[in-house]
Amino acid sequence: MSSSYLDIDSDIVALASARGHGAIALVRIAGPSSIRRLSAIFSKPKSLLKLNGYQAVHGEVLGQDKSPADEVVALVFKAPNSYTGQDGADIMCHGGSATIEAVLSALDFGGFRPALPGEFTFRAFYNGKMDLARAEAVNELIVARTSAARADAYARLSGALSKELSVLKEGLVDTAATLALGMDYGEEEAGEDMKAELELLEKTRSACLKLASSYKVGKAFKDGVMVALAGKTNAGKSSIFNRLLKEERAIVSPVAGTTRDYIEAALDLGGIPVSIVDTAGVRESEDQVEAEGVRRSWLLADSADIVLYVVDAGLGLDAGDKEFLAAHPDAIKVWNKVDKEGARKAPGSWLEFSAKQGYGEETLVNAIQSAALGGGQAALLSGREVRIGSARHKAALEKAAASLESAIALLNSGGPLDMAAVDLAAALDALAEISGEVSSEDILDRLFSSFCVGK
Amino acid sequence: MDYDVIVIGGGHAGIEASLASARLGASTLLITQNPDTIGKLSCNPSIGGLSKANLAREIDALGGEMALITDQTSIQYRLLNRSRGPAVQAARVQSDKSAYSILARKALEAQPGLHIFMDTVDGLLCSQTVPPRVLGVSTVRGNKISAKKVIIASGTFMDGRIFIGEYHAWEGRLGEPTALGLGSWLRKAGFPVGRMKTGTPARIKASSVDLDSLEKQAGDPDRMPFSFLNEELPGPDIPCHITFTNERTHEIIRANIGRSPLFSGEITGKGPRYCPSIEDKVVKFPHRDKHQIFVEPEGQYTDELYLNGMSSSLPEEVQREFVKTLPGFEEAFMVRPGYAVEYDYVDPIDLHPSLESRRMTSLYLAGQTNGSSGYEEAAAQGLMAGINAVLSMRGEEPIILSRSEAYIGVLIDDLVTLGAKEPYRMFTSRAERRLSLRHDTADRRLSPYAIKIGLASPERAERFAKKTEGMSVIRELLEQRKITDADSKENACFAPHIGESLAFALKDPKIAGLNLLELEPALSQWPLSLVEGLVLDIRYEGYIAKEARLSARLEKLDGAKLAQDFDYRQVAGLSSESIEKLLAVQPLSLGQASRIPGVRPSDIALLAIRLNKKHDS
Repeated sequence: MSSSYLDIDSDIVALASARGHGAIALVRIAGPSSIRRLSAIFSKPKSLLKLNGYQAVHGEVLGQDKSPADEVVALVFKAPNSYTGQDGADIMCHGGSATIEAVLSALDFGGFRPALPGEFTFRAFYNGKMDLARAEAVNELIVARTSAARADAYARLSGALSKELSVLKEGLVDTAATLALGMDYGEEEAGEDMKAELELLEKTRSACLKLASSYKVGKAFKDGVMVALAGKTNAGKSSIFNRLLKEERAIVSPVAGTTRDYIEAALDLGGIPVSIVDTAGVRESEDQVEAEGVRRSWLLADSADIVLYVVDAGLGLDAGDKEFLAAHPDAIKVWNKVDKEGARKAPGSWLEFSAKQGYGEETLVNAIQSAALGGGQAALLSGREVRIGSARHKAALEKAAASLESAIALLNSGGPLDMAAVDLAAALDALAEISGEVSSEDILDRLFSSFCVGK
Repeated sequence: MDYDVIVIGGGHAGIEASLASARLGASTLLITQNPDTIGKLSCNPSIGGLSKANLAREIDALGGEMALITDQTSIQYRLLNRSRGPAVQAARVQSDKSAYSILARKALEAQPGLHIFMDTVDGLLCSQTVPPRVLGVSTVRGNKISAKKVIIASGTFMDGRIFIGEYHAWEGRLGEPTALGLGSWLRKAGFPVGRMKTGTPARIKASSVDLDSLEKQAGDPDRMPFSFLNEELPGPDIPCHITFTNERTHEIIRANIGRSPLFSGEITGKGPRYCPSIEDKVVKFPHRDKHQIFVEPEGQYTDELYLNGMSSSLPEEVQREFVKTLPGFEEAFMVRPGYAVEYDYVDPIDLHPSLESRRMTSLYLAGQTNGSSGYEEAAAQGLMAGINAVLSMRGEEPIILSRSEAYIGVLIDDLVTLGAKEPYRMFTSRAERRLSLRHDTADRRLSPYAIKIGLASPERAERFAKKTEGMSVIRELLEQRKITDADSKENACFAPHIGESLAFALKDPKIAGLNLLELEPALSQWPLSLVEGLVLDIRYEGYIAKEARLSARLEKLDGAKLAQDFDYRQVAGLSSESIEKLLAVQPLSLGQASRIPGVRPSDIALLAIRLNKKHDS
């Protein structure tokens, strides 16, 4: 871990509100002598030093030449009743970027060190104010793009994931205790029957896997999904694009190959941040620019989370469509222009759609959501289920499940308890890693450096 | 100076402490209240059992005596937990009590440089320095004996008091006078002296019991010695028996529960949770309709039986009555009643991991005095105290075994880090690295220490060198022997392994179960135990690696040393509770600090920064 994070005795500062112009900006300081340090460059040092936690004072932050940098309100926090667990203050100043710079440079002159990304939250974790899973949720909360994503992160912040994990851990600790009994007392005193333990291990293993698979859902909410529209030229991709966006973003024309590059737009699909990409149609092109567009479209379709493959119902399927679908078997297949005269009937697994009339739109939206959530149904969206939001959690849960599987296999085959106990310990270790009880330094380093500065 | 080292107490800790000290060349005096009671097995007549056998074999590997006496006095051998994996299985030997005591005394008397002296220590001589240094002992008969080092191994005798119902007496063992004086001396000098309690069951005349009507438990035919110096385990196979309490037993106990000093409040000391009295069990588990009683012979030269599981301090007549409710015991005659004993112990949180007192230099404490329970636990501490006292005299660093290299390391680390609030018994599950701490690897782990400091006899050093060489030859044989088509025709389980080395194929439990000597006749020139040890090594390699990965963090923390005079009050940000605990324990390493209950992980991180900063500057 870089030593500066662990340098928790230094007083740090960061702009906590977004950069750019606003009425008010918030500059946050924290550290054991942060209040004293601030008082040295504050117009009313005595009033500032007298404050208890959660009290505010109005005054001026003084620059290097003792002239006021800005008129501010400082809200003081006292350890341990603060976000970081240390003394600190939120300094509210005026929002112009020149003013912010003046305040920050005054604080710099006052001896504050610019905070590293996530350093405030690191201190909160460090001082036992929150466990790792909750610290991560803070960052997710900040970057949440939709209300569902926010709710998801908030559930983790309020400790729902930590609670669920501690239930799993308790079960494993009980089982480990039973194994220990067998190791400590011998056959004469402690029985052989491990049926109840095996059941619990199996239950815990599937709970771990279920949580791990919730990553797809959690990730969909957190990072969003990319949906690529693909299909032959003039299949109506841009019309579907506009229909989903509810605005005329893509130029639609009856001329095949109107969309020559690709265009991207963001929308909220039932709480999932979706980035939808309209690609150039798939066809053999002599036009250099369009050919490049087609190539990029294939690439995009390959890197997209979800592909909508659109076919003109009036034309039906040809060899090119089949080739594409063979390469993208998970694509959502849209049978567009069913309103057109001479439209053919949609084959079984195709969604009937009319971009023009909006027919089939709800079904399509549902299909996209369901695909985004890994086949999960709408129940998942509204449900109170706990989800994980990071690849780190997923890896730890899968590690735990694998260790449990090995323990179960050993116990089922009458294998030795001493080996099974090691597997169980490994599973517990993996789970404890999520909450940071046993976090190694490099995990912490990686984690907090991905935070935005000021939290 | 009269002696280099004085050892107070002739029990299992005192025996190992005085032998190690004398064997390392220090002039040693063992002071006991009665030389006739040296090496008594005060409670049950057996040595070993789960995790305790590992301790016994570790003591042997380090050049101790316990395993040698056990091997010579064995009257039954059993391997426990055969089905639960080699790392958690262990041998238990029924030992002849009187023979054990005689051989222990003989070993002490035969040791050059060691004197046995009969007296009772009632105080220590010490300097007026800060901290004081121990200079010797004073005794009830007015003797003042000086020494460079003093080791207290007083067992249950320091202000020991026994209870049988309403009866009580100042005795450390039934019929043997307590040692008054030293406990109060230590209290006055500011040592954290407390009271602990333990108990023992009644002894019954065997010929008054219908043993034939009970379930019989004979020993195993294939016996393995505890000591690495022995090839075979001689001795008879005298069976144990099993019986059970019943509702009538429990009724009698319940009706008289108020007469137990444990429940009447006479005894304030904390008893062992893991070895509760029968009245405890009846009260705590009211729904159990029976408790198992293991009937053990006390020896070949006595007709007494030991009732394992029946420890009690109820009045004699109550004990007599409930013993008769046991099937087969209708006509039983009670030779000695069970009793509870309460005694002074010194909280081991006050000790360095070398077992030297932090309060008084050159003073060492070992065994039940440190709040442990069990012969093996006591002997292990006695041995380490004896070794470290002499190493300190030589001006050398003490031997502090880590948790990953010995159960002894786990034992002592637990005692000095956690302190003892109740009698501490070793358990397999206390060891994080138990797969590496198998009893058969004790010599590989620890004999190099004994050889280095000069505690291993030439015979032991030579056997160890031979064994080390043998194991590498055997490994090579196993690696060179390839599985062939012919093998798979002979035995189908070889089919998936053709072309592999035998060493590799052994990871398959089906192969590991075969008779390897038939496959590779060259192996038969080595003792079977070596071959079996290697097969286990190979079979467990993957899991040992897993275990190692899990405890890597622990070892890294153990490697980060903390200064003994470190003032934790100087570290900004440490919680006051942590500061208090850290100052009380003065941990040797960050690892030890992290195991102190109440010290938060974030406090460990804070200390880690301090260490890193020091390295930077």
